[in-house]
Amino acid sequence: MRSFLLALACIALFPVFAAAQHMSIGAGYGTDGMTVELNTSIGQYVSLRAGYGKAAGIPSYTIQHISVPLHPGNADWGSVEVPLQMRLGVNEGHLLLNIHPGQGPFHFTVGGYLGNACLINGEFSYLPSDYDAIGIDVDGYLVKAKNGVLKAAIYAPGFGKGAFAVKPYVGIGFGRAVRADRRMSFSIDIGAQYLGKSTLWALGEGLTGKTKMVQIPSDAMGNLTDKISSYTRYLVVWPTINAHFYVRLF
Amino acid sequence: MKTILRILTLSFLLPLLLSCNPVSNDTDFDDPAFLQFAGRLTPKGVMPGTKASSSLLPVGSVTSIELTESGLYAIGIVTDEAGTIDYRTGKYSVTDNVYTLYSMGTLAFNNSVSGQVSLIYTPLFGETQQIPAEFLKPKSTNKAFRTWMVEKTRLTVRGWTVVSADFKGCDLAEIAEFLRNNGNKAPEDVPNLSVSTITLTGTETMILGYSDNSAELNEFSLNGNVLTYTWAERPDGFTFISDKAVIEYRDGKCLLTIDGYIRDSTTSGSVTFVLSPMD
Repeated sequence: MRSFLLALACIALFPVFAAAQHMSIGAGYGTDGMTVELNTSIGQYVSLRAGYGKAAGIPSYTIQHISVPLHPGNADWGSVEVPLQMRLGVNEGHLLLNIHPGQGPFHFTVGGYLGNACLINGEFSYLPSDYDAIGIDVDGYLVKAKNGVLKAAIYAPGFGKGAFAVKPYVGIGFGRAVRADRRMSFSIDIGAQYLGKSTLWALGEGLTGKTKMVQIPSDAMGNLTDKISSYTRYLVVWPTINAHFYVRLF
Repeated sequence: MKTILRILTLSFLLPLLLSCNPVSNDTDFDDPAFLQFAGRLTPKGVMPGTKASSSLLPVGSVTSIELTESGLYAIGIVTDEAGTIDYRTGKYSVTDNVYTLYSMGTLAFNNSVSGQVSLIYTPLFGETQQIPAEFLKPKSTNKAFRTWMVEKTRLTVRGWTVVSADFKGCDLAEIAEFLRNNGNKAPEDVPNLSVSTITLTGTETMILGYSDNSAELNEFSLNGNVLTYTWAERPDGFTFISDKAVIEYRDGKCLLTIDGYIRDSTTSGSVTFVLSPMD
């Protein structure tokens, strides 16, 4: 499904970009990560943006008192509080349409973000030693800590599924990326991505040694999943604010 | 210039397509090295593994010899007057019709077809014996039919907790300690042994080879990827009550998973052996 969607997006974009009269390349920074994108105008009212963003340079945040079961896999045998360090983890492409109603810099933006569903990367640290020895088997992948550290993540798939996200976006902005009379331009955007239902994932080791992120079943970590849900249930939309600097290619 | 820029623009989109890596599972293995020499020798009048018949045999008699597709042998020898059979394993080599069983001796017989053979057994220390025997060549071939080294064991225990752990190899004492530490029953007198090899032969014998070169033999049948076997009663209490195992192949490994429960315990669980070909 993921391959199909990406292939479809590429096929759809090839003729648009190939026929472009003007095109800019831009770099940006915001809550959707550090981004690079191509922007081409389609007539006077619309421009198409295709790009890629990855979280970088945004400081982490630590929740000091996350309660985890003292013994992995058993919620009834007491708990212990450990810190959870979180940082933005986005790593995805985007396909957006800017609509300039008055041919000026003000624009509405619609489109979507596609790619890895990881929104927030996290690390539980100072876990009890049992977490190093034993873990939870999720579909053949063993989730356990290494030296007291367990890598986890919040995945937000939007309308996608599992680890692949399709997150619709709407927003407004100011600035035109492609201007025939200027070589360089600037644009800012503010909007929101729909995140869907966020879930807890963690790094697991497969039987043959391969590692991958796997979704933690809600009953596997006792109160921890409830605690995580108490934070993530407000994450229905992701506020997206970014600024881009463009250079016209032709 | 504009054309170059357009080409560069289009190439900007290619990484999206390239990110669609197909998943590949390498599940092909070369044929085992001793495929044409493999088979089972049963000295005449002996039903392998049964005390009733072996108790009639003098101590030291050979009850059966498995010659596996991967060059491993498992020889059954009567060790006491009650007819107890001990199995020993080791590697063998073949020159024409003469099999050299390392640490055991040599066998000479006509290995070309299944049937009655005149087996000449020369133990490493002892007299040469000529024994009428039945030689059974493998009934079929299958990529599972070979000797597999136990690389890793994943144990999932479903008792008062549900936990999993990986163990390098399959050390029985280490696994027993893991069970006890997690509040499950485990025998105290577990021998300090590892399961080092698992062999499935074309004569439908499953051989568990231990780190001290002892072995345990069971019959099995394979239907698709489901292995049905008879599991011998183990004196150390590690008897998994299950007669089925599932075989999968992934990333050049064979995964053998047994679901079951431990005798005299409410603990259930699964054991997955991660196996790599010995040859």
